[in-house]
Amino acid sequence: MRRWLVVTLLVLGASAFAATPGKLLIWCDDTRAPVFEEAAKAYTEATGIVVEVVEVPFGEIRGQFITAAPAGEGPDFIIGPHDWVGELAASGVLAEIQLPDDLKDNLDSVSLEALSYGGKLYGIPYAREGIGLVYNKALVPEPPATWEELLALARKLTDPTVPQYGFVVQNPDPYHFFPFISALGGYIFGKTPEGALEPCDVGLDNAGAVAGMEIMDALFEEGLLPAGLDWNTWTGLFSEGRIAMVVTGPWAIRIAKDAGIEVGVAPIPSLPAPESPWPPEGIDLPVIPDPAHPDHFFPRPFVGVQGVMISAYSPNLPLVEDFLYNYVFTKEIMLFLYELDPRIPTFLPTYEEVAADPIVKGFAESIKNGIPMPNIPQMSAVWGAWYDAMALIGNQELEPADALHQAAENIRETLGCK
Amino acid sequence: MACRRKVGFWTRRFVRNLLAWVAIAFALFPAVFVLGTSFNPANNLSTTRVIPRNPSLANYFELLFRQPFPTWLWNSVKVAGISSFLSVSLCALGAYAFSRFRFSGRRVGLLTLLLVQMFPQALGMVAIFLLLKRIGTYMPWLGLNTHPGLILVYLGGALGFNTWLMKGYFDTIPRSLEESAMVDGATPFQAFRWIILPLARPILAVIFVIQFITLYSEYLLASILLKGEKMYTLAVGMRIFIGEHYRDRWGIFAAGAVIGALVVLVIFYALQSQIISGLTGGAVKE
Amino acid sequence: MVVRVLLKVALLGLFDALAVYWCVLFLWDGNWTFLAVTAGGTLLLNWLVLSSRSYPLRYLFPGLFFLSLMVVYPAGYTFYISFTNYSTGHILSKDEAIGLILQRTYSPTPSVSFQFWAFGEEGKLYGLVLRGEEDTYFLLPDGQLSSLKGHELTDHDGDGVPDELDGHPRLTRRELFQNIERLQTLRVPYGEGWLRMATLTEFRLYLPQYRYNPGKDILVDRKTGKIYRPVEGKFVADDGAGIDPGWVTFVGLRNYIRFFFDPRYHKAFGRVFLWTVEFAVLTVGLSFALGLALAILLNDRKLRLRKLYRSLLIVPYAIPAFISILIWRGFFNTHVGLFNQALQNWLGTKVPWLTDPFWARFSVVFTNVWLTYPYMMLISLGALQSIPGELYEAAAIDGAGPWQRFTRVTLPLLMISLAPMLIGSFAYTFNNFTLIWLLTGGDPVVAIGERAGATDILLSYAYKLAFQGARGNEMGMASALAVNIFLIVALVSGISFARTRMLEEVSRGM
Repeated sequence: MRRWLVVTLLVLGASAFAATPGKLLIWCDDTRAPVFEEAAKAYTEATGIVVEVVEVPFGEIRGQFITAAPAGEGPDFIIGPHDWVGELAASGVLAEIQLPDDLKDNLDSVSLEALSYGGKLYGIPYAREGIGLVYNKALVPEPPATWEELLALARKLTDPTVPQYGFVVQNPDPYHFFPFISALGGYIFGKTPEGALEPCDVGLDNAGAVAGMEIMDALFEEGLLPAGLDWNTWTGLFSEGRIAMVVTGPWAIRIAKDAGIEVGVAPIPSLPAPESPWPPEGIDLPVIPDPAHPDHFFPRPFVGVQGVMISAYSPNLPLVEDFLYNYVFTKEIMLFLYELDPRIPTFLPTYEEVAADPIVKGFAESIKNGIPMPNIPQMSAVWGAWYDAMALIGNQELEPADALHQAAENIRETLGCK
Repeated sequence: MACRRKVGFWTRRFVRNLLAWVAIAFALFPAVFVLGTSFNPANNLSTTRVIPRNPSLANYFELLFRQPFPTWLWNSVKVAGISSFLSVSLCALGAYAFSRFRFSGRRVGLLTLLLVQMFPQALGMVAIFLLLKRIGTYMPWLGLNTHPGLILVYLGGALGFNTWLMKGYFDTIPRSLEESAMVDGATPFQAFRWIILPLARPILAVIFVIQFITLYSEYLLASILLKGEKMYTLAVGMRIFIGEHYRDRWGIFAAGAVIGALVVLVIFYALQSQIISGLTGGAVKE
Repeated sequence: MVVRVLLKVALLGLFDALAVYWCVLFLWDGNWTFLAVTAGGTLLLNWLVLSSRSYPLRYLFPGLFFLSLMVVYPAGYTFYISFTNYSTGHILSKDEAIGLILQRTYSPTPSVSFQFWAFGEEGKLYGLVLRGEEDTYFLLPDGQLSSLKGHELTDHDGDGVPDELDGHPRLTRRELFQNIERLQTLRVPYGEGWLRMATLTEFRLYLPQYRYNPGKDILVDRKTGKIYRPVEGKFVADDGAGIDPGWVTFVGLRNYIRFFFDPRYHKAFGRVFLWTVEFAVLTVGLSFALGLALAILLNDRKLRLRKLYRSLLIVPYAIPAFISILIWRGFFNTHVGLFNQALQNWLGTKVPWLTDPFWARFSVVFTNVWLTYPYMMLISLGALQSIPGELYEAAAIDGAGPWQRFTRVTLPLLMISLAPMLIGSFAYTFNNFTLIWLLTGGDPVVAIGERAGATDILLSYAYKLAFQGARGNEMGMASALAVNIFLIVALVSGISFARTRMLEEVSRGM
């Protein structure tokens, strides 16, 4: 229903708030708004320039921006995740950014890459995030070091009649299952020799993806992993202390804290390959072996990068740059941002400050082997079919090989690769 | 014989009350959980237990004293009340014409009313928005982000299914009553106003309640036409509590739903005697 | 009587005067649509009030006025949109789009840039000095560019940054910001393009990127020489590259054709359509049966507490639908839901309420019956009041039992006024997007890539097709789907009308 509205508003191109020369206008969601208001206050004090921060619900920013900006009704810049970049840049609404060298050196380079499209930078990263293994310390004092340990622990702690679960993954949900698909070699889009994403090379049904999902399918079948466990359900259970381990991201930490649950964060243990050697001979799969455990491979979650994206239609480019470089990307403001939105800072001076936090460290460790979520517009053709496949595997209606194959074929067809 | 009749009477009475209570249980049990959640300070939507672990009035306190909730409630009552009153008036006028006059296009007109209201309204919102925006440039008090503007939009639904219901009721009121009044020199309008309307009170009350409840919780139109916390109606305002990324506040939301529903129940309870008055007003029947 | 006529004429006159005033205003603004509507409406109103033939219409006019404004007009607009390509990237008119594209500039490589300093007193701008690689210029605040000759530039401390110009000191950073609005909007003609402030220390040369040729209706990229031609509401080059934004243009029946002939769209249509009808019929049928039964039960004057009962039974209607739907969703939850917890405790089993197609459909209907029966109860209660008690007495004397009285007397009489309400309710349920979206989101999945889940109804399916596809938001497509759905509902309702012989009832005038 809400999306319906968004669509309507967006079609209307109706935004009451448009950027005007000599005044800065920012669109961001309610989490980030206080930070930019803080920076804005300092900027206004120093320069007399008015900076207005408009709260736009997260889900509406991209859609409204893409229509409002060309009509001269958009903001000067927005805050959003890197997977918007492809669509926005292709639509010509983002300004290319040339960072001063001193700022560039202070930013995480993988994050900069995630915000680039076609070799050009379209955003300034401020945080990166990804999922890891979050565990309730009251039930799991020490995180499992291996997949086998995790399973044993999960079996011990699961009792669906209570209900209590040892190990859960939100589902059906492609995003949270990606680490298991990628661990043994599955991927979304392959890469060209130049390193750009190749939309017609869909790796969702390769041997690695199937092997990874077989492992998850076995958990569903055993009744260890509950099917159809959505966000609201598992957070409710987690708050009541009925979930021992869950694969989730930094956004869930606050819920645990509010409920008084003490949590730890660790990387998801490496997954065992179905046969040795892995990958089988003659097949090339992008895997990272775990040196500590032979024939085990690291799960590779999606890495998401949050950043500032500047409107190509902003009448205030000089001011925007001045404001961002000198008043937003500072240690203090980035620290404040981290406090309100505890994702891993990409601004290195701030990261060094907070790296001692075990939660930040846990997530940083978990996404060390991560893969930036593809930011090309073709990604929108992937989610639907992929979701369908995850749902049918979870409900035990299709075997992983069939489900993934059908999904990948559907994606190839939609993208016109066949 | 008398004894058996008496037993039958008591059994019937017992069965009736029992049935009523079964139905009430069916009606109320989800509502009970809304009530329970509203006392839950933990803010999650618990569907496994009615009484939360640490019940408190915190949600109500927050809602009534720290949020603009009272304003929303008042806005909703005002907008829904005025719109429903006007709707019922327009609807009664239309139903009277369809019931008492014979004119060409009457049959088609009645059918058209029904069919037109079947258009999926959600898609017409773009046009409504643009229309109100333009009206607003000439009459700002009737434009976007005004309550009169919203009422104007709601009046579009005045003629429709309800007109049929009302016409059906009017049809059962004998014409002889008006005819005798008109012989005495009353105009058709006077006959309508002073004879038909009082007799039709039950159906007016029913349609008022239906309209009121529908508009009171209307979300789609209100949310695109109203901007800013002070202008919100209940449904739009409450959406703030559960609309944000990963930060749903179910407790407050449920508390709002409880208070909001209470208002409707009070209004319904008050209007009930109007609804059944037709039963006792046997004198008007032929 | 005379007074009434006079009053009528006076009021009409007042209204006409007002209308003329508005018309002049609209004429002045060139707002032809509003002018036509106001003038037409006023003429109609005058005819209504003054002609005796139009008497019945006087009663209908107020309602019809709002109906046409807020229901018919939006529907017509949707119909119009359905023949266009209105969608993400195609929301402006062609002129607006060209206007925006022509504003686009590029900075040539290598870039031509000038360092600048502003001079003046107390924030009041006297002039700027622009220093490039070769030339240095003097720039007046109004954008006039001239040579620096005749102006005196001094650098007191010799740090390479000039400190004074013609005796005016250099503006501080804060003072510069006071003038930023004016400086940022300066476009100083220079060469083939213009100079514009690029950063807080630099002016840079920008060239217009496109040239529009109105005669040939083509855009030329001045940087690359590429030629763009309009194709379906967008300028596209021969190599397929397009320029955003596009514009709204007529595409004829394409949106309709796509729906009927593109297998991707109609693959699931039959299944979804059948389920939608099932869903609507079951909901209306069951909730009406329940609502009517309760209305009859509570219409009994012998039942004490009936006022309280009625109020309690209305509760599902009084809670905003979107919260109760979410509560039901919680009950149906496979793992932690109330129902499965109870089943688990009593029978040691679980039902996949929302993940199995049959049970998901069951849950949807069940929830909707709960949401709808109070409405049915209310209208039944209202309609019951119109049945004279004498009829029952007569029937009772004739020896009719309770069931016979119900089927022979109550039901037929009720149906006269309730049949249209039921059909209306059917139409509403047919398009009850909110329920489906919040309760199941259309899930569970039936087949990969089919888009429509087991509980998707036509409207939610249309929504997924039009707004969750790979091509952004396709409003034109959505409108075409809406028109189709409307036609289907109207058709089904029309047939039901014929079946219930409502038309004859109407034509006989009852």
